[in-house]
Amino acid sequence: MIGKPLRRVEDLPLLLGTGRFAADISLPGQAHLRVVRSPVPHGMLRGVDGRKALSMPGVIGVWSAADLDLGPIGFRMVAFPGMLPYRQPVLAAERVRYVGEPVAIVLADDPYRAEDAADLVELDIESLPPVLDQLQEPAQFDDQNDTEALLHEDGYGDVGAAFAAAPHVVELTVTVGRHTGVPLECRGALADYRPGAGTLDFYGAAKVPHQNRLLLAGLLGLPPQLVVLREAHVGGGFGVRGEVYPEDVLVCWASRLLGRPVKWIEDRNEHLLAANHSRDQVHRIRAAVLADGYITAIDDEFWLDQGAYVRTHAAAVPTLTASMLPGPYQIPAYRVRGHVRLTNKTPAGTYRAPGRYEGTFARERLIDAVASSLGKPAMEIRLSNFISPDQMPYARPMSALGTDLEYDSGDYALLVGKAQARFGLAELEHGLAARRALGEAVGMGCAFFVEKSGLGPYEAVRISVDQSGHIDIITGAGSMGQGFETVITQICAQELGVRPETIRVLHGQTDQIEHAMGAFASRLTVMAGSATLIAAQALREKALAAAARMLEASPRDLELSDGAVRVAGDPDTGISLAQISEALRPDQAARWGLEPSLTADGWHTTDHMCYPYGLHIAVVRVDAGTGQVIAERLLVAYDVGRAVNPMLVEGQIVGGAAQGLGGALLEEFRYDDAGHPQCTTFMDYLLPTRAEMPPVDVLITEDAPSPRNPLGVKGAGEGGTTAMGAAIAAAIDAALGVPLGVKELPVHPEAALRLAKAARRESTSEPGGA
Amino acid sequence: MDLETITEYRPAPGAAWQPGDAWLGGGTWLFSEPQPGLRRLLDLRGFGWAPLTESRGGLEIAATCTIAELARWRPGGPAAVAWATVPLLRQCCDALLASFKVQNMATVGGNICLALPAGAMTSLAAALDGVTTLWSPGGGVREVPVIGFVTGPGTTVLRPGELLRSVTLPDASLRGRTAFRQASLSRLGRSAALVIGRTDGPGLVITVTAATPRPVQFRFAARPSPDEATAALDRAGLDRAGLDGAGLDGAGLDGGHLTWHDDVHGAPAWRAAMTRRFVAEVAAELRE
Repeated sequence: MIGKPLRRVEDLPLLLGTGRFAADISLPGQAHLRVVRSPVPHGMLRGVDGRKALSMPGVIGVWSAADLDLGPIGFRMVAFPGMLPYRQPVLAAERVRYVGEPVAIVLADDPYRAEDAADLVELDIESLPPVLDQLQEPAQFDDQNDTEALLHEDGYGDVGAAFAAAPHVVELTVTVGRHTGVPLECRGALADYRPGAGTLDFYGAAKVPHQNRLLLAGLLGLPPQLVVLREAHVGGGFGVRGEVYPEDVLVCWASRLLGRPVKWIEDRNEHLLAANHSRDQVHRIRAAVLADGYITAIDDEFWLDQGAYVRTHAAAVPTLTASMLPGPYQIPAYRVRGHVRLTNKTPAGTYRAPGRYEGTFARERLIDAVASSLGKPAMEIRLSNFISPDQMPYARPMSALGTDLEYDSGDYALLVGKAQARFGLAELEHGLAARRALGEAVGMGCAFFVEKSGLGPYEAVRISVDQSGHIDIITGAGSMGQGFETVITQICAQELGVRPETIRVLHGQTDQIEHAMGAFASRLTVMAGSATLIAAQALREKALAAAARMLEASPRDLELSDGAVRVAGDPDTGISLAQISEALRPDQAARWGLEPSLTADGWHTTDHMCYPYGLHIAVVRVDAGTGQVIAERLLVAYDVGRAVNPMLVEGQIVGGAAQGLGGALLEEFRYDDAGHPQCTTFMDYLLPTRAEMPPVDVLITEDAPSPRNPLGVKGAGEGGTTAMGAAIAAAIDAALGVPLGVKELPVHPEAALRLAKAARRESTSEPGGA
Repeated sequence: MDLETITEYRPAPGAAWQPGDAWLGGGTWLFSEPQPGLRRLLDLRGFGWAPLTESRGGLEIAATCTIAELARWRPGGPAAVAWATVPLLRQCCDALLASFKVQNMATVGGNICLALPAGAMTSLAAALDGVTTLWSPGGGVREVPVIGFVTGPGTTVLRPGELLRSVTLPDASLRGRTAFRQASLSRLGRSAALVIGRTDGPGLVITVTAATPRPVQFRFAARPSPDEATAALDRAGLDRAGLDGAGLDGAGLDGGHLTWHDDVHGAPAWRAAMTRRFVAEVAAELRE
């Protein structure tokens, strides 16, 4: 079962149209919340007047910050004390800091009335000049703090000495623009506070329900046990969906205030204004290089436009950029300085391959620059700097997401070789050269990367078999459409020897299991998958122990297959898991010295992440007349350690590649000079569609299983995205014949035209040129 | 619902226009964002206008004709046999960034009156020398060429209470050959530059939209070479700053009062470069 392309078990309700997303959930008597948002990027909030809104029929009330007794929203990971002043308030009190910031809420008996009434709430805001550039010297944030929320410094080795001794120093400045994940389903929340019981049910949770329960309970002053978060179907996450945002707190607060359920459903305009943005980094990076291309040191300084506040991820993105930037290369000395600067834009957070898409772009552009400087092929530079298999596990004296940075396994050169053979890269390049000779601007670019996955510290699973033989797997981890239920089903089905159809995966309900971390950081297959295996093994042992009593046989003589326990070599003796479950009633289980019920828990804990890796290859054509970049092919080779379901791994990679392409060529949140967002609909925020997305060839290898979990798996959630920007940039360079031409993402047509013109100028100015 | 200020909806026929009224066509834009100044919606569908009317004089497109109806339309009358420009209608309908749902509701008149630089119906009607028929509240009627109807992004010559009744594409224009070029940042994105060339007897008419705040047209008595066509563009006074700033091909511009449009769908320099390229291309294509 493991390793098979089992079709997704979670799709039936979606295909039947019976899926239940946040907006599909309603409760009797619910009120509807609408957020009044700041129309200006920066200003002093002098007043909120809701009188006109209150006069509308159906309006229950209007509340602003003065009515709330809530603190700012806390961090859930990678928090530095110095970032605390930059947390986002639930509602802006004295100052608004970005267009879209929640300033007030309107509650009505109907969502349309709530929206209409919100339009009538008058805000008195005295505008202030906005800060829009993270390269600008820090400005005043409040009385005590400037807009540099964090200067993160890290590294190892003697960087100064390496540069002093290096015969070559290569440096460049690169930029990755501001874009983010845009799930098909926008956010939504329904809170139901029961005054008598003092309980709060929250529907519409995603990604990290257990962590969010603690955050929400803390903000509201409720015991966590009385707060239940419930995940429904989730239409995509990508790191953006599922964090605690102001709106999540507001529905809970309002429900408690009114003693009735309160619902909020985000529209697309709000999503693009209010949900986390991401990326937006400028890197100044340099390498100390020996004559043979060996890189002795990297020195990087980067500036992250964090937007107006530091949200739940705290320093996750900049620290991931910093720690993962050296990637697959040895790099004996490394220094990084990351400036997290606040501006008057929508706050930023994580988005698929957070920090690594940016850092990989900077590093792989640097590798290309080194190659160009030395006149060597870029792949040769990569191969000569790779960490070798015999150096594994490879530790850098740094940490990533609170864990020691130690690569668990990998053979990077082997993957390159396999990709070259599978994709026929030499023939492909030969063909492209022939096309270039005929005048086409076509080229191929490569970028290598190491990903991180399987973040701990724990995940738990409970498996139970009922008296019909039906199996429930309960986990607190979340499903956001990635195929999680299928993967868990496959692992359990293999270990218990049962049909997948008998298994149901229940997830994301905080009242069903006490502890869980959630769905982020490409961790579920590693963490919840391993926990499932461990739980299934425990359940198997229990079933054999009980069956041994029933069959009066030794457990050593029994085997479990096809959902039944048999005496080895005697197929007629089988008793089903259903029969065993029925037999394990409390009284009988006690007589047998077993715990009642055919149930087992499994925990997987770890202090380390595991590190998959991959090679991205892009083939592009640049229309020399229009500057438009057409991606003709994308090729991804990825070592995942062990693929539980290769079809799902491929799906993850293809989807991730589309998002990587989007960030490279199309997607960008732009602001005008006054700080007003220009991309607040899908008309203006350009997502790649089928028209822009070429076929993606995927090579999945399993050459470096992780020694850090019983399955040997590594995560696949982000590996389609990480290096795609760098690969496309290199391909554009190759197409235009401009080494290191692309230094900014996304690559707009006018930039490509400018490069093409530079290339023409270069060629005509050479000796012998026209 | 964003139109919380609306207090009355009624068919347009017989309704005396007053401040706070809006003529309602398909509503695809009107209903899409707040309209705080509006009080009444006057539905033009009440007139029951035929969407498309062929005659010897040309093709009259009612303001209420939907984009889908125009895209589906094929000429049927005897004069229509000679109307070589019909494929252009479909090209312009496809250039309008819209789902089929929007195309089934959005109207030709609405698109023109919205006066977006990238308004594809403006591009079409301007390129074919369309003439608008405008009805004033007092019962008056006047005609304005489409090329002059749009005066800038979101602005037109419409006076308070005036409504666009129809656009007539003259028979002579419909007989010309056309060449169509369009560029956008993404395949289904809003147009950043849209250039239509049309033969006009021995001459040529080139119409530029999307790249400029309002339609710009060049008329040539004889078919120009590509160089002659771009020289005319340069002489027209389009601001050369954008071209020079980007180091693109902008030599020969005179400087003047018109600028290249600037929004998230394309930088001015790129729009300028695309326009020059397309102008040359349509001139070359139609010179044969």
